[in-house]
Order: sequence, then C-alpha cells, then structure tokens
Amino acid sequence: MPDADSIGSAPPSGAAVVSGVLREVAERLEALAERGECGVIDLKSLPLSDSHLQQLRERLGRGEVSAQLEILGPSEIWETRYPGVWWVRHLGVTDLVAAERIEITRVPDILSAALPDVVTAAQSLNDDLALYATTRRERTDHGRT
Amino acid sequence: MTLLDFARGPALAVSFAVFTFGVAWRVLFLVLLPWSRDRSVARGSAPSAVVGAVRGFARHLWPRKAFAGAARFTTVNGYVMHFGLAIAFFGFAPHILFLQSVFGVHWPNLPSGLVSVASVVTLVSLVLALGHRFVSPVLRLISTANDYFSWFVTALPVVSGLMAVSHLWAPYETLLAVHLLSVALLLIWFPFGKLMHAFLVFVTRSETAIHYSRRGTVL
Amino acid sequence: MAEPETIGELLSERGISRRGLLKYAAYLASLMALPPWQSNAIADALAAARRQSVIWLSFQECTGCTESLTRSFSPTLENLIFNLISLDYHETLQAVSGEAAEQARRSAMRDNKGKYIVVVDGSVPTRDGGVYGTVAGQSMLQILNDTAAGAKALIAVGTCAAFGGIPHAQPDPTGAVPLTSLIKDKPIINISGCPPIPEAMAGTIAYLITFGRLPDLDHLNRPKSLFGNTIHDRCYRRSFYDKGLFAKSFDDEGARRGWCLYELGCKGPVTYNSCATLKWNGGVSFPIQSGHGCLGCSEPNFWDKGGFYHPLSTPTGHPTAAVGAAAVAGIGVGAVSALLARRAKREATSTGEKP
Repeated sequence: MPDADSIGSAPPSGAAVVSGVLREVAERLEALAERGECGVIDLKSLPLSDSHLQQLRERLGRGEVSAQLEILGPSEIWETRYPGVWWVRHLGVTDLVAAERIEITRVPDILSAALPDVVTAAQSLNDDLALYATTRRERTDHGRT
Repeated sequence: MTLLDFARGPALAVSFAVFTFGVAWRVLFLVLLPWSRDRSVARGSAPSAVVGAVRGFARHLWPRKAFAGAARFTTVNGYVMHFGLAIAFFGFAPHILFLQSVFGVHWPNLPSGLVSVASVVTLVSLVLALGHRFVSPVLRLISTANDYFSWFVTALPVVSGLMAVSHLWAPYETLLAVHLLSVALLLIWFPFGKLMHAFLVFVTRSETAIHYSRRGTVL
Repeated sequence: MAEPETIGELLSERGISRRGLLKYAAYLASLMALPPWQSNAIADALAAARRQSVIWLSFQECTGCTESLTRSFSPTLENLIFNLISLDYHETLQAVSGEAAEQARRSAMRDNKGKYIVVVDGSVPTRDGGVYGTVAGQSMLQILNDTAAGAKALIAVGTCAAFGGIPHAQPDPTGAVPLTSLIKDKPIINISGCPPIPEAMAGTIAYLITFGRLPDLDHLNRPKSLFGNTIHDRCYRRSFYDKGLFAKSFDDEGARRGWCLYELGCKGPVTYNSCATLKWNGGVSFPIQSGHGCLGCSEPNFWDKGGFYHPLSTPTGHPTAAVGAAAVAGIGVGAVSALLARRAKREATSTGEKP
C-alpha cells in the first residue's frame, strides 16, 4: 500500500504551512508576553503531512517540562524550546491522534486539577480516612476479644 | 437529478442524436445532389480527379508567397487554434475516457500540465481570431451570426474545461456539468452551422482542386 | 445516591475527571472545526449540560450506521459520546423488547417533550400508505410523524435517512423518501454516508448538546465542518491527478504506485465528506488509500449515477438506439431532399429552363 506521506500532500504546500504556523506561534507568544493572552493552534485542521509535523516538532524542539497523561487514553504534553509554547497531543483509540495542538500559555489547563475534581477528591480522601479509621478500630476491637 | 446528472445523461444523449442526424442529413444530401457534370475537355496533362484533389488540398495547407503577408496571421493563428484544440481534446485523460466510452478505443494521455498550456494557447488564439474578425473591415462585412455563434460554441468548452480543471469560482461538479453542457451545445450546433467545415472542408477544397487541375491549372 | 443531574456529575461518578472532558473538548473542537481556544468553554458547557435524551428510529436500513457508530468498544475518548446522551430507544441496542420497548419510547417522548433529539437511520417507505415498513403494528411513516412532533431536532444518519439512499434507488419499490421530504417544521441535520463516519455522527450530537443549536449546514443540511470539502480536495493522491498520472486498472503499475483513481471511476471530485482526513476504523485508512475509488456514498442518488467504475467525465447513458434512429432519420431526410432537388432539376431541364 502506498504510504500517504511519501506521496505528497494536499494543496496548499505543506512547507508554506509549516512556516505559517511558526509565524503564528511567534505572534501569539508575543501576545502572551505583552498582554497575557493565551492562544491555541489546532494542527489537525491544517493540511500537514506527518513529515511536516515532524519538521514543525524539530523546529520547536523540546524544553524543560514534559508530561505523560492517562485520561481516556494516553496524552503527551511537552514545553518546547520556547517557554510558554506547549505541544499537546491527545491519543484516542489504538493510539491514533485525536487532537494535536500547540498551546501558547503559561501552563496548559489540562495539567492543573479542576475545581470540581478537587472538591470530589477532598470528599473522597476524607471518606477514605474515615473508612481507614473504622477498619483500624474494628481490627483493634477484634484483637482485644 | 443534479445538473451533472443531467449533463452526463440526457443532455449528452440528445446532443449525440442531433449531431448524428444533422451530419448524416447534410453529408448525404450533398452527395446525392444533382451535381453538374464538368463538360470541359480535360487537359492532356491533367491528373486524375483523386490526385488533383489531394494535390490541391495539400497546396492549400499554406498560402502562396503573394498572399503570405495578408494571410499570414489567419493561417498561423488558425493552425495554432486547431492544433491546440486537438492536443487538448485528444490528449487529456478525461477526454480519452469520454471517447473510449463512446467509441471503445483509447490511447495514452498527455500530462495535464501540457494540456492546460495547449488549452490556454487555444483560448488566446480564439480571442485573437475574434479580434481579427472585428478589426478587419472585410471580415466584419462578411461575418454573420453563424460565424459568431460558431466561435462562441467552440470557445465555451475551452473556457469551461479550463475552469473545471483549475476548480475556479464554482464547485467541480458544477464546472464539469457546465463543461459537458457546452460540449452538448457544440454538438447540437455543429451540423447546422459553420462548424460543419470539419467535414465539408475536404469536400469544398477537393471540388475546387479538381475543377482547376482538370483545366491544367497548377495551383 | 441521587441520579446525577448533569453530565459533569455523571462523569465524575464514573471516574472520568474534568481533564477527560477537556481532552474530549479539544477533540470535538478539532473535529467540528470550532475555534480551538473555545475548548475550555465547551468542556464547561458539557459539564453543566443535562444528558441529552435521544430516540433512535431505525427504518429501511441495514444497521450499518449503528454498526459504524458503535464500532469501537474500549472506553476511550471517542466513546465519551455515550455518556453525553441517554439513548432512550434503539431497537438494536436496547435490552427490553416488545411492548416494554415501545413504552420506553413513549415515556421518553412524554418526559422530554420538546427537548429530545430523534436520530433516524434508514429511509421511510411511503407507497400504499407506508405499509412496506411497520414496527409494533405501526407504519414507519406514522412512528416518524408521532415521534418528530415533540422533538427539538432530528438527525438523519446515513444516506438512506438523509437522501433516500439505496431503498430509494431505482426502481424504488416502496416509495422510499428521506426525512426532509416528510418533516417540514423541525430542524434536520443530515449526516450522510453509507455508513457515515462515526466521528461525524458523534461530533454532531455533541455539538448539539454543547451549544444547544445546529452547526453550520450546507445546502443539503450537512454540517459544513465535516462536509465542506470534497474527498478529492483533501486526497493524498491529488498531486497525481494534477500531474495527469492515473491508474488504468486495479493491478497495473500506476495502481501499485498509488496514482490517481479518477479513470477507475473515483467519485472523489464530486463527493463531500471527511473520509480523506478523518479516515475510517479510528483513522486507519479510507477507500482510496486502500486502492479503490470513492463511490460517492454521501451524495444523493449515488446508487443511480451511472456505475461506480465509470469515470466522471463519461456519459452515463448509452443512447445507441436513439443515435441509430437519428442516423437513419438523417439519411432519410438527406436522401429525400436530394431526390426532391433532382426532380426539380429534371423538371426545370425538361421545361427548357437553364438549371
């Protein structure tokens, strides 16, 4: 079967799109620096072949932070060589890419715990502690008799 | 039924039928007409009618020196237009598929880029021909609606074909439908207008050539 | 424990964190061509939304559309859709049957009047009062009219429900029609395809839940984000078309090299769908990548467009008889008019006139 990537990409030419994406990243990064505005670029909506994505990844490089997430399938996030520019890749079924985007932000939202989850967590930790205390008491009670 | 369905189906079917009817009618009518016998005595040096016809036809492929200046543009432009049209019509892969589905024969196609260039050249040449017809006082005088309409139905498939290939201004299905409809229009008009020269050019030029060669005129 | 009120609560109960919703929102935004920075807002909206009551009606269909939507089983991102909806009636998937099933439909219609979504796969038979398709003693036509009356919107999944599809193909013995021919007073979204791409169905339903309104639709009521481009426009073989390199048969050198399939009847240039980008089976491949031309299954009347293996540039009809008759007529008219001319000449000559 022919490899989709070796055969050429759909118009417009991918190389032009790669440099276009990089220019947009630079613009948004400036906006973040000056006005604190966050931005996102959806890579899947652009006519980029795998080799163009590879090019883009190489141009942006890897920085200090990277994270593996396990949420309804694996996800990968890393900060690029340019702080504030994050590569976010979500995989779905059978490790196929469900969403791939560049986020221009201090930290991607998905990394921080959301308030509803924190509320639930506080509740469940308290429940766990109570349960632990109960079982310990029961065990000690059993030990005495 | 979409426009494309209409173009590929009924429109082409009707145009094939009209074209066949018209061509059969006109050719047969011409052949069976009561032709006047040439009562002149043939010169001793005169070749046979067939040789005279072929020779005369060949001679008319290029103008004599005396007319070279006046006829240069129309001759050269005419060739450019006809060759361009032939390259585009017979060389483009989708056209070959079209012809194959109608006649059952096929041949290798030319690269699409080359066909596009040929089509653009054809179009330019068509525009120049029309311009010349407007500018030249003699041509303008003898031009009739038939000439202009024949030009129009020839240019339309070239323009719409180029648009369909380059996906300009409208979705491909619309452009392809318009292109096929323009071909249908051309086929329908063909037997009844000046386009019939595609068949009759052989008749008229041969007739003239035989007439002169019988009288010993070397063209 | 009380029934969860919102999708957020339900997901939390099922151990899916808000991050899961954020990830789904990123996926959905990309799928439905929404501004990517909206994904946070989408996640919030979904978390606060109630589960959408969905009544799924199966009419003249082959269950391929349901197969397509449910094809991936693992509890992953793409399947999150099943947490967003409450599938209150679906003959193939529901556990109950018989009167209990019909009861489920009726109570969903009553409890969510004006708010439920009706998904239909399959076309509706209308000939002879619609007797050619009945469920539980009611004609499909009747069921559709009854159920649609209280619906918020209808989604026609598959080419049969959207455009009539294969039941509507010639000779159409049952008088099969699409939803849009019958329901005039409700919004209808068409997700065509035979079957439709599962992501297209799921994405459209999720969009409806998130925004409470219809996505942008094309002239055939299909979401523009999914049906905005032709297969040809996004095809990885497009460059070969532009260069004029075509496979001439399914096993020649060109086919092996992955050249354009136009000459083998590919309908990609006139077919609007996302197969070339979303692909199938979770993104593995799509027909053209597997070496077969596009059939054009997401377009109206794709079954009756003159053959899957006939190139687009060829005529669909073979009017041999008509052309033959035209030739005979032409010869006849030509011969008669020539004979008339001959007679006129003969008469002119005999009366002494110069011809």
